[in-house]
Amino acid sequence: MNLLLVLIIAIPFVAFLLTLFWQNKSEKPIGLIVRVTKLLNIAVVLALAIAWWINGQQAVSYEVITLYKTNNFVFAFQLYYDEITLVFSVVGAILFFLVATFSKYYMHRDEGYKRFFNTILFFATGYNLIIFAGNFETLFIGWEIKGLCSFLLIAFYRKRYLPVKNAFKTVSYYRISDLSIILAMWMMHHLIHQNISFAQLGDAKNVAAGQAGMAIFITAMFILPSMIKSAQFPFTSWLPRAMEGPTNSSAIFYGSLSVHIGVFVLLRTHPFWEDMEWARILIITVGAVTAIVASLTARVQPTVKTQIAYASAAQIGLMFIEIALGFHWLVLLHFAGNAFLRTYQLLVSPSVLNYLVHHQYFHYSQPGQQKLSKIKAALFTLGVKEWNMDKLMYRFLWSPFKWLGRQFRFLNAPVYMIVLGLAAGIFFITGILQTEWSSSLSAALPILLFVLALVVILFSFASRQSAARAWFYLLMGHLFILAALLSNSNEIKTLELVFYASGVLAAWLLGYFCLQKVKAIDQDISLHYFHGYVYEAETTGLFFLIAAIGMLGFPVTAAFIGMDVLFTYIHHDQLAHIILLALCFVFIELSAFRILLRIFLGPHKKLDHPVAFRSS
Amino acid sequence: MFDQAFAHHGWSGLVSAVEDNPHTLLDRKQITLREFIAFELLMELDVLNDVLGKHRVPLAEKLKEAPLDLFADLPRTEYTEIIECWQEAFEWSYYDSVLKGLLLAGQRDRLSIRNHQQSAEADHKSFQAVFCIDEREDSIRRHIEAVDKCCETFGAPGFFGVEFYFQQEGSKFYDKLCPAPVTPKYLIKESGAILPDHHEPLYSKHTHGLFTGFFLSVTYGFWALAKKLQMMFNPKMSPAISNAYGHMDRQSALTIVNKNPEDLENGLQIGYTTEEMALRAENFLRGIGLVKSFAPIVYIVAHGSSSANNPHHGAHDCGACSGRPGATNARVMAFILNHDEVRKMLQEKGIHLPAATRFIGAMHDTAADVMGYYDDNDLNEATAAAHIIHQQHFETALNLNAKERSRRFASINSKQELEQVRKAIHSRSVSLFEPRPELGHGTNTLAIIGRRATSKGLFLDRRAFLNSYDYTTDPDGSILSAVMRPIGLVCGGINLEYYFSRVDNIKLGAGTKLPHNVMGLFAVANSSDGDLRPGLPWQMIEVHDPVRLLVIVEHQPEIVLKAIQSSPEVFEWYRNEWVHIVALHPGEQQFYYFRNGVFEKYEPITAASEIGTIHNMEAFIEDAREMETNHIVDATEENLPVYLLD
Repeated sequence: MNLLLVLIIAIPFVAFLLTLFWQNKSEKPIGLIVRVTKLLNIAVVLALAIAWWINGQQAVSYEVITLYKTNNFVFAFQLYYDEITLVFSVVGAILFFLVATFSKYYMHRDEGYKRFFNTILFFATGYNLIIFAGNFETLFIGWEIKGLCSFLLIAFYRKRYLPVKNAFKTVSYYRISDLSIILAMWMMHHLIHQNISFAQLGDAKNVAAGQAGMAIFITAMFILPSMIKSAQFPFTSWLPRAMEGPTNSSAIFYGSLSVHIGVFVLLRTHPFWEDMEWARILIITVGAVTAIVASLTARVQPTVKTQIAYASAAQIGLMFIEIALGFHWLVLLHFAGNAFLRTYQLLVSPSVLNYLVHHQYFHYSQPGQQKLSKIKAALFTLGVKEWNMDKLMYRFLWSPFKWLGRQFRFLNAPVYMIVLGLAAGIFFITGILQTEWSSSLSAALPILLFVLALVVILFSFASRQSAARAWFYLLMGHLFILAALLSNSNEIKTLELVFYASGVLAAWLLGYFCLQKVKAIDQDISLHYFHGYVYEAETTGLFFLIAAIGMLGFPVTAAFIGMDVLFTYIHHDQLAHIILLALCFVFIELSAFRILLRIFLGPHKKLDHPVAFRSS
Repeated sequence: MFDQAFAHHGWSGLVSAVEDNPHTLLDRKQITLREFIAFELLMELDVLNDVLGKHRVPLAEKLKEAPLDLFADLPRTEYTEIIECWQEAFEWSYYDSVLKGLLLAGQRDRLSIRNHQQSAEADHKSFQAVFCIDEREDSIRRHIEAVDKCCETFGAPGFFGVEFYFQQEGSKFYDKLCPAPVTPKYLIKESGAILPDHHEPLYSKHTHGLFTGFFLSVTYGFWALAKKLQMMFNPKMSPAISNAYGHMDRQSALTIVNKNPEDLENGLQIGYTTEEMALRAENFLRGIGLVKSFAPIVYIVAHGSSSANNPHHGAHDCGACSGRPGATNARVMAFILNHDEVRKMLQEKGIHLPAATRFIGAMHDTAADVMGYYDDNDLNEATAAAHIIHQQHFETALNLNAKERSRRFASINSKQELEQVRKAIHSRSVSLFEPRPELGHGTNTLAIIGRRATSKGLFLDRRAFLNSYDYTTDPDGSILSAVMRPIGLVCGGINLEYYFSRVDNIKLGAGTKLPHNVMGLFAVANSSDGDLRPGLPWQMIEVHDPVRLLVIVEHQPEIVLKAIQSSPEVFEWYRNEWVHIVALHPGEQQFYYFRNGVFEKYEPITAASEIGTIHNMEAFIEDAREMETNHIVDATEENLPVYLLD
């Protein structure tokens, strides 16, 4: 059984690596690899289900490998299997099988054929990692992979403006959910004083009983990412905008697997918060509000895909209620049915035109001429405006930070680059040397350094000038963060520092070289508009993507472990520190992706070949 | 205002189209482009007031330069001249070989007539078939002529001379079944239909409700899984799939005959009077030159297209029937020509239809490669027996047609057995995952107006619209004027549609189909906040060579000139060089090309040796060159040049 668990992760991942090696025109080899993978996937999933059933339906936990271990921190890959995993894995394998078969024909001769299958194989790896995760670290790897693949598939038509813009919007929501999970891990670590596995969540609950504050924080940090990933109120607005990719990718992501992952997280963490009344009430409220709001919005949607998206979100709202009430088998049934239904509806959505027009021919009735009641008119307008969720998110979440970042525009001057660069370096070194400061300074210093980190990162986030400068400030942000962490705690191990710093530095250098290469084309890498350099420098774009995800701790470098560990060096009562650090990490990702988007993606600025309109 | 309207050219275009044709929307709306622009200007004004306040300096006061004259003539530069040269070279590299091929085929034809004094005309004709001029029918005509050497095929615009509105039984709307600019005055209603009205719960709004959605998702959701498996591995026709035969029952009754001139509905006369029927019948037969030597059975074959998951399915249907399947027109014209009263009147006009001759309406589904026949239950014994044999011949021709089409589809192995290829083609037309159920009018380049004998000896790779016309029956060109009237509009219109969608698919076409999201029930857009996408999608135009249409008319150039100058709308196409036109003088066997207002002599420069001959059609199809890569530039490598047929 343990072997099967490892296989379920290895198979899609190996397939992903293999498909990287063929060119786009070789549809047959890529198709063959995908065919084998999807069949193996189903086979292993079914084998696991049968093995589990035979073993008396006992939950199985398996530690695959420990990557890093100290006295108070263990980073291990752990896999886990129980009935929740069974349902999610079977549904996932079947849907992956169906959509992959569909895509083989549907994506024929598309210029992104290979890119598409690379991404969905990587997505399958991420999905399996989340479903089969035995602890938060493993879940988090899958979570990040899934977020990246979502971004790549929404921005699949990367030479147009709208998909790129909407992909960025989605990724900004996802980043908040990523950070919430990290914060949950952080607080849980302080609560239990070890890296917990899911099998032990039930026991953790007992410890939590004594520490109300921590428990509330942890539970809130479970609920928030679930709400975001499953498009619950007030985060629903990204879901209809995520339908920018081809129909089959929308079907597998936003119809089924990706959007239900919040449900999975709540189910998985249920043993921890099942006794917390406030949590259950909160989840029920969120679910109920979403169900009503999304249903009303679905009724006024003018396009078929957004209608399905909102209807799906409404059903997930109901699933949230079911989880909170403890009806787990109902949730699993509901999840399976909803996932299958919405995938199917999305796959055949273009046929709705022919069907409904034909239907109208026979069943048309003149719309009534009486005036709408005020309530109906109000609900209609609210639905059309999607309950202003998008506007509110922008106004209260992103706009303030953008405004803040613009206030730091003066940092563009070279003198500040030098001054701040030196400051970062100095504090970093003093941190390593464990310089003793006076007590009042040593209390304030970490906060000061975190604030400086946030300042330079927000500058980079809102910058409209040279991308290279913004990229430089991101490195400085990391330096300030490290300096802050070093001054906050004297127990940081060198190895952990090396993990983090080496990963970030390598990623930064790669990105820097990519930017220089692109700058050599036209001497213009301003962030003021979209350049679309992926048209002429596709490989450079790919490397810059790798650099960007490396900068934010994606498990492509050791920075991933480093980041996880370094979080533990903030004490559980250092609220300001953790908030600043979390904000830093959110905006590092957003800045890095923003640079990627504006330099490489979007409509190409040169018009010697067909370029799409901005509105298309 | 120009920038504002073109910032979302899809929506602006739709408003303009609805203004011209309010019945485009099922729920009629009277809107104008002017109102739309005014509305948007008001919204702009609102934003300006909000952001800049009411006391602001208007932009006009700050402008120093006059704006561009958007409607000024484009200056002719060296660049435009060079581009023109390349386009002409591109076009003539194919056209020239076609013209040479016509000459060679004509020579061979005359040689064989001289050698075999008895032409096929004297022999017994098994059947005749009138197809639509659609270039997809070029191949099925070639195959049926090869399978049954005694048959004769003709081409006529797919509405077959009868223009009317059609009301399906139970429908609340009319379908216009004639070319788009014509406004019919007649209505034909269907009764006695037994088409079941299928419901597909998948598309009902109940799946989007809150509690109904809950129950449907836990129950129907699993059924949806079964349906998905079925659709992937055993595709078949379903209510969600656009069915070419679905708009009219095979055995239903149509109100073709008018009982009473007062029989009106919504201002339309129900059915035709006998005089009106006879008029149309005569025009139809004279137009295609079929006025004597009738075979015992004459099929009138319309065409339609079945496709799944295809919001653009109207583009595959008959363009001469306003984007609908033409089966009703075929049935109506067949009925008219079988009508005794009509035949009496035709006799008075000089067209003698033998009593034994029977007209049968039919429809060819160009995607599934299937033929359906209408009103063939009450044939006498001899005719019924012959009909069965002809149906078998058509089946063989359809198999060969499927094979010819299959060479362009990567997922079908053309080298398989004919029946397997045919099954693969059929399943392709009902597959929800197939964005290319057929290639439609892709690769269209020619419109040949003349006798079938002129083009019969050529392999034109489904690239030619073939309109039958007999110059010997029309010395003064009056029939030609009528024949030429729809050519620019239908054939030229189709050609330009594909041309512009191919030349810049991203701006003028609809882009790739894959992210398309159905907006309302009237358009597609990319995702939720994109503009509407007019034009043809990528998957339809991939194989198209963007050349203008070459119209080849078999008659003297003076007569052709008179015919195309018969009305300004017709002449505009040729004068403004939207399409090319060449006259083939039948006596001299000389081409005359229309340029700068005159027809001047044209000699093809292709050598006779450059045009190959096909001896074995099946082997030829199997060995035809395949494209090297998936790239769109290579897709057109599979378009074949002209060949002579053995």
